[in-house]
Amino acid sequence: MSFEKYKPTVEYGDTLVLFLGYGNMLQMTVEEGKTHQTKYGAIKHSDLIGKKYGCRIVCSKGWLQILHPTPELWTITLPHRTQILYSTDISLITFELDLKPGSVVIEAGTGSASLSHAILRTIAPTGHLHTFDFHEQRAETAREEFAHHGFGDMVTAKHRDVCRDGFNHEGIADAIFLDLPLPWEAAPFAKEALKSSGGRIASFSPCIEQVQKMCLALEQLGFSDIKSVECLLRTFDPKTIELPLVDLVRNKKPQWKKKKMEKNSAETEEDTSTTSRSSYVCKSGICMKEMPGHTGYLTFATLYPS
Amino acid sequence: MSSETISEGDQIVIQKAKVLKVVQVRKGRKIWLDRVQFSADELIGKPFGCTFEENKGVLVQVSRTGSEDADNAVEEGKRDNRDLQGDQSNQKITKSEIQEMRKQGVSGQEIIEQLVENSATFKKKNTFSQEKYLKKKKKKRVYQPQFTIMKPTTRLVADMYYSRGPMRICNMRPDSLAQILALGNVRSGNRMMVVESCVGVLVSAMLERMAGSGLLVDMYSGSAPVHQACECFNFTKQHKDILKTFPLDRVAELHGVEKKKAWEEEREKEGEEEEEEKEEVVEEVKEEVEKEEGAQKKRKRISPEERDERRIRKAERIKEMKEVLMRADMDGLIVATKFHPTPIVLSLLDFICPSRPIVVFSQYKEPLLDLYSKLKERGGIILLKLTETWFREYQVLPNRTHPLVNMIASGGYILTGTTVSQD
Repeated sequence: MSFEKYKPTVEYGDTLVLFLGYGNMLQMTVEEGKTHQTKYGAIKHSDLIGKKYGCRIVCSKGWLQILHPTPELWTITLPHRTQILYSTDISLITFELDLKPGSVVIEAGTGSASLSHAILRTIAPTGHLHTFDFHEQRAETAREEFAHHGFGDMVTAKHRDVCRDGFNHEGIADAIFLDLPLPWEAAPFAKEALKSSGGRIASFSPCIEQVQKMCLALEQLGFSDIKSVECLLRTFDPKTIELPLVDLVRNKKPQWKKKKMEKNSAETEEDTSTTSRSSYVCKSGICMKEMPGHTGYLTFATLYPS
Repeated sequence: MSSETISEGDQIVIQKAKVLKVVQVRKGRKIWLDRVQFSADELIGKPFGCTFEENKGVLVQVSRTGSEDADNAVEEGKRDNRDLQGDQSNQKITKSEIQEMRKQGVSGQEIIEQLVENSATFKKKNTFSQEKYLKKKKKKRVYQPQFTIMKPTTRLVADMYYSRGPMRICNMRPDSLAQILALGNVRSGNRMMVVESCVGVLVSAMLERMAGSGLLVDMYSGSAPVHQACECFNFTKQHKDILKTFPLDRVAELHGVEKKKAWEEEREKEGEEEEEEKEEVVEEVKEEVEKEEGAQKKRKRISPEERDERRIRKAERIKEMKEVLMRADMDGLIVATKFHPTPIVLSLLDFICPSRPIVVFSQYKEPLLDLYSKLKERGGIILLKLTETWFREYQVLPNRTHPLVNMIASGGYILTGTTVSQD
C-alpha cells in the first residue's frame, strides 16, 4: 500500500527502496519477523516500523536511507522478468497518450510492469488500466504486485495473447500502448477498443522494420497524425575542471632551477599568484564515456471519430 | 471536463497541418488562423476530432483525407529526375488563376488536379517525387486548408506554445515537460510547489495531472503570477481551486519566523489575548468583503476602500499559505524559470518532506552545475542527476525511412534529486 499516495512512516506490508549509495539501490517489502542482508549489515524489518521515509538507518557496518517508492525508483529497482521500459521513454509515452486522472488505458504486454506503475500513478485515482501478457506467470505475478502496491481496484491484469485473441474490449479506452514483437497484428483490435469519440495509441519497437510495418497498418486502419520518434537520455557528470595554461613566453630559467628558487626564495607571494594564473578553472558537465544509444522507436497516432 | 461535442464557451484546439491554435468558441466570433478567417458558429454541436475545410469564410465539415495511398508507392526505379529542370515555366497555371479558382469556390482537391494536369514535369517525375509534390501542394493554404478540432491537452498546448516561440516557455521542448512531470511524480492528491516562468504551461500541465485533488502552490515573482496557458484548458472550478499562489519575495519571512520561533513563543504567551481580538476583526472584514463584492461588481474603478479590502484579502491569503508551507510537508518542488535556480531551490527545500523528488529545469547547463554543487554542499539531498533528452523524429515511408532532416538541437536540461532528512 505504498504507491498510491505518500505516507509519512513505514508500516508492515510497505514496499520501500533502500538507498545504499550511487547506483546501489534495492527494493524490499517490510514483513513481520524478517531480516534483510545488505552490504552494511543486517536490517531487521521490525526496526523499520514507524520510521520516517527519507531517514537514515544505521547498520553495523554503515548506514543507508529508506525512500518512499515512486514509479521512477521502482523502474530502477524492480525485479526484471523481461526487458523493461525506462523512465525517459515512459515519460514520453504518458505525455503523448494524454494520460491524466480518469483515463482508461490498455497495455500489452505487461512484462515486468515498469510502465504499468507509471501509468497507474498518472491515471489514479479514477482511471483504469487493462494490461495483458501472453505469459501466464508474468500476468499472475504482475497482478499480485499491483494488489500489493495498492493499485488493486484500478488495474485488471490478464493472461491473453492479444495478437490472436484481441483485447475483448470495445469502445472503452482513451489510450492504448503496445509493446509487442508484431504490433500490427494487434492494431485492428486496438482500433476497436478505443472509444468511439477517438483516442491515442503508442507503440514501442526496437527495430525500424517493425516501425515501418506498424505505420502502414495504422494508416490503413485510419489513424492520423502518425509520428515516430526516438528519445535518448544524456547524463552529465558535474565536475570542476582545471586546464593548465601554456607558457607563451620563453622561460629563461629551466624548470628545475625555478622550483629550487621557489623553495628558498623570499618572493613566495608573487610566485603563488603566478601559479594560480597558470590554469583555467571552470565547472563542466562531463558526458558519460558510453550511454544507451538505442532503446526503441516510439510511434504515436490519433484515432479521430469516424 | 466538457463532453464529446463542442459547445459555446469551450476552449478548442484548431489544427491546420502542423499549426495549432487555441480559441474559445463564441457565436459570431471570427477566427484568424494562418491568414485564413472563418467563423466558429459551424463548430457548435459538432463532435471533437472532426475536420473542416474553409470555403469563403465558412467552415464545411469534410471527411479526413489520409495521406497518400501508401500502396502505389512501391514501384521504383522506372523514372528518375535526370531531365528535370528548375524552371518557372513548368507550371502553366499562374498564381492569379489559382486565386480566381479559390474565389469561385473550387475545392482544394480540384485545384491540385488542375495543377498536376498543367505541370510539364509531373509525369516525368518518379513516384516518390510525385508523392512529395502532392503532399507539398496539399499543405499550402491556398489549395486545401483542412482544420481538425481537438480538445485542449497538455501535449497540444505545450506544442503550440513551443512552436510559436520557445523563448516564452524557457525553451522547454515538450518532451522535456514530459520528463519533468514524470520525474516530479506529479499526480492527483500531491501537495506541490512550483516556480515557473513558462506563462503557465507548467502550472496547467500540473493542474491537468492533479485533477482537482491536492495542492499546488505557485511561487511567483513580480506583482502577480502569469497563468495564461491555464486559460487554454476547460478546467472546472474544482480543477483550479487547488492552485494557490505565494510571492517569492515573501519567502525570506518564512525562514525568519522559523528562526525566531523561541522568541516568538514567548511573545505569543504575552499577547495571546490581543491576537484573538485581532483575528475576530479580520474575520468580520472578510465577511463584509464578500457581501460587498456582489454589489460592486458593476463598478470598474477601484475605490480606496476596496483597495484596502483587497490588500487585506491578499494578506490573509499570504498568511494562510505561510502556515501551510511552514508545516514543511510539501511533496515536491518543480522549478523552470528565467531566474537563477540556486537561491530559489535552496530557500524552498526546507518546506519539502524527506524522500520527495525535486526537479529543476533550465535551458542552460551552467546554472544547474552551480545548483548541483551547492546542493552537494548543503546535503539532505541524494540521487542528484543532471540530464538532457535527445529527441528526433523520423519520416517513415516504404523504402524511404530516415530521421527528419531537421531536429531541435536542445530541449533544455533537468537536474533531479530526492530529499532526505539530515538527522
